[in-house]
Amino acid sequence: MNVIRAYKQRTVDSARPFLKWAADTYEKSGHSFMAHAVEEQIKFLKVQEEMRKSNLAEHPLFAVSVSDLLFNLVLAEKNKHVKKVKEIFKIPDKRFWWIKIRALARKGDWAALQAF
Amino acid sequence: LSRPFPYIMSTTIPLLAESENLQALRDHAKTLLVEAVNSMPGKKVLVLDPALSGPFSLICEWSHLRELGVEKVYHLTPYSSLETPWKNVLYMTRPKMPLARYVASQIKKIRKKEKEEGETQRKQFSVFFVPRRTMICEHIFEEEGVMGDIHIGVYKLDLIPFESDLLSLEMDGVYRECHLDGDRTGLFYVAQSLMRLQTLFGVIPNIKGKGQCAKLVMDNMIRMRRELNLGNDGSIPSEIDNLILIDRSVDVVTPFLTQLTYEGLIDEIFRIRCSKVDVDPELLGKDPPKEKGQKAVHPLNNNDTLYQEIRDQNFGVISQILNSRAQHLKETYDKRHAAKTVAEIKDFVKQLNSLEQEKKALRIHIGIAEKISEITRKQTFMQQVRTEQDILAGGDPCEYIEECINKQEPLVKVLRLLILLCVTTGGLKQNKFDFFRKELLQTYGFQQLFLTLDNLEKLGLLRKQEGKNTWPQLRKALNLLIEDLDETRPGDIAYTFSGYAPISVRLVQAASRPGGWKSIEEALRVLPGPTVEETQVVPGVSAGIPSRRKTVTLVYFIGGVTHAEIAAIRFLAKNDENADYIIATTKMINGDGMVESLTNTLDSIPVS
Repeated sequence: MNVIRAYKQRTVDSARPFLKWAADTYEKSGHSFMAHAVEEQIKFLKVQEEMRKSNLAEHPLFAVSVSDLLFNLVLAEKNKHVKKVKEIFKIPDKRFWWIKIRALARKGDWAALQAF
Repeated sequence: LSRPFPYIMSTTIPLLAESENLQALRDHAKTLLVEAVNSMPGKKVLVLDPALSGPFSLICEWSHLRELGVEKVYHLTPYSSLETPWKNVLYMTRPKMPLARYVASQIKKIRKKEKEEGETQRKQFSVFFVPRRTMICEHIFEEEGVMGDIHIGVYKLDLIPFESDLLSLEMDGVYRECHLDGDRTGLFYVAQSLMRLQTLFGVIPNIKGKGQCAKLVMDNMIRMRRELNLGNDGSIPSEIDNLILIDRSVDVVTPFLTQLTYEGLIDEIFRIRCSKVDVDPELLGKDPPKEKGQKAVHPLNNNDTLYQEIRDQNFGVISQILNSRAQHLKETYDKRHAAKTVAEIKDFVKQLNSLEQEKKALRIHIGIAEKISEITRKQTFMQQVRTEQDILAGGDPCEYIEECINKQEPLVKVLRLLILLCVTTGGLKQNKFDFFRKELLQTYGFQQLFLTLDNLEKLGLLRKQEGKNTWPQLRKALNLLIEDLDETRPGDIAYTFSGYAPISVRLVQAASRPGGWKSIEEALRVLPGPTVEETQVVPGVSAGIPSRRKTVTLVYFIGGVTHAEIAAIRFLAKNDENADYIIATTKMINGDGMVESLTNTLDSIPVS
């Protein structure tokens, strides 16, 4: 319920308390996966927010999922951020490779793909 | 602004059932619709709940609506305004809360404008609820202050005949409502539609059912009969002998598999809606569309005799049939050269019309079949079907599913495979379950998926391993997997999924065998929900007298049925000269539709 309420908020800042509350409720009721998923989403929103503030966005970085964000970052060659995001969200190598391959192919960066 | 939408009537469906006069059902539906439209005198516009436009097109031609004074038809869309010069506005909608809100908002906007412009001739509003009015919707009208402005009516539409052997309530989401939302309104409609069938075709003596919803419908039905005292005078002889109620939750394997019949694949790829499909206009021999991507509507029903012949066949044999049909057609055409005498030429000319029709149908189906094989030949499609079959056989294709997620293949496809895996293995191991959920959330997005995952878990469609896995036992008891199947001359319903027999239809099949459901007691015990059997006494008829006609069985799917399952039941009818089947359902469904109906997305948080 609190998750739904959070997503009715106008801004990320006003949504955060609801998400925190939801995570706590899930944790207390023994739904640790759900609690963790909500926590991760809070982190995700924060990362997106930071990137927007630091004006990283000459490329459209905003994304609906962690994988999409990584994809956009690879596309924009923000390698430092790529590494950071990969670590924060513990992206399995296999998925990361696929994201990288897809992004490089999109860019048409065949040299980088070869070197992969 | 609401724009009129094209009202497309598929050519009238032939109703050929020998034993049942289903035409009566449609006539009745049409009479009631005409009454509803006529209740508003003069010229008017019709504003339709989009979910009703398909069903309506099967009941009444557009030209007929025009004769009744309907000048234009609009779709009811969220919070849109209606601009029309006509003074009479007739709304027809399912009794759902959001729809009532849209109606109220349109009416309020119109009234406001009338006031501003000092309009003296105010518009008249009628709202017809289909199939019944509800307190909650009327309450919304009161709350919005429009109750005094409208006349409320009811259009009791229930089963709509699609074919001579197929009826549908065309109600969305009955499975979801019953099993997830705890809303049993749909079951009430099912019971009511059965009561109507019994008033038309007599009391159905034998009832069987499997699943929680089947039991509820049966109880409801028997109670209603007592209350209405129906059939106690025995005036209408029973035309339907057996009723089998199947709750969709009993078989959640079949709908998530890719249907492999011709019609099933058309549905999987293009989506069939109310016996109609959207295709490229070129396919129908029409001019290319003015706007790119514009589609033309093509009706798919038994009026097309070629379609009737091939719709239920496995797609693997379709090209062969179409080929030989084309060959045959060419030969018939060529006969004109051999025609010498005037009588022979006359004969040929007589044939010409039907030949032309056949040619047209053939061209359309060759076109559709080509489009389908473009897709079925693709690696991704073949691998998907192979994976499904692997899952049924007890394989563990987790790696492939993971790869699909990594490649960001369509979410519905991934969910269908995961659901299939869960319902045939008794669930995923905890660490796998968590792994996949994390992969899904991180790939397709939290806001897209979080609530949906929760829904699927509540329904047991995605779950962690608990208890014993009953799939192998079920598979054996019902003989679900058939190897070495000859698809050109199938000997088993399993041809519909190239080697898998739908659980639901195995239940139907077993019911007609000597011993009935007793012979599959083990399987029935394993499948979820209660098994119920009941006999309704039909006065005036002493039991045990063999009737001369075929036995007629009505199979009612509560929560939807797929085209491939229908094909399988038709196969049973074809191979049993003593039995006829009629299929009723709450809705025609497929795996994509099932997943979509269980999806809830979160609104996005606007970026500051």
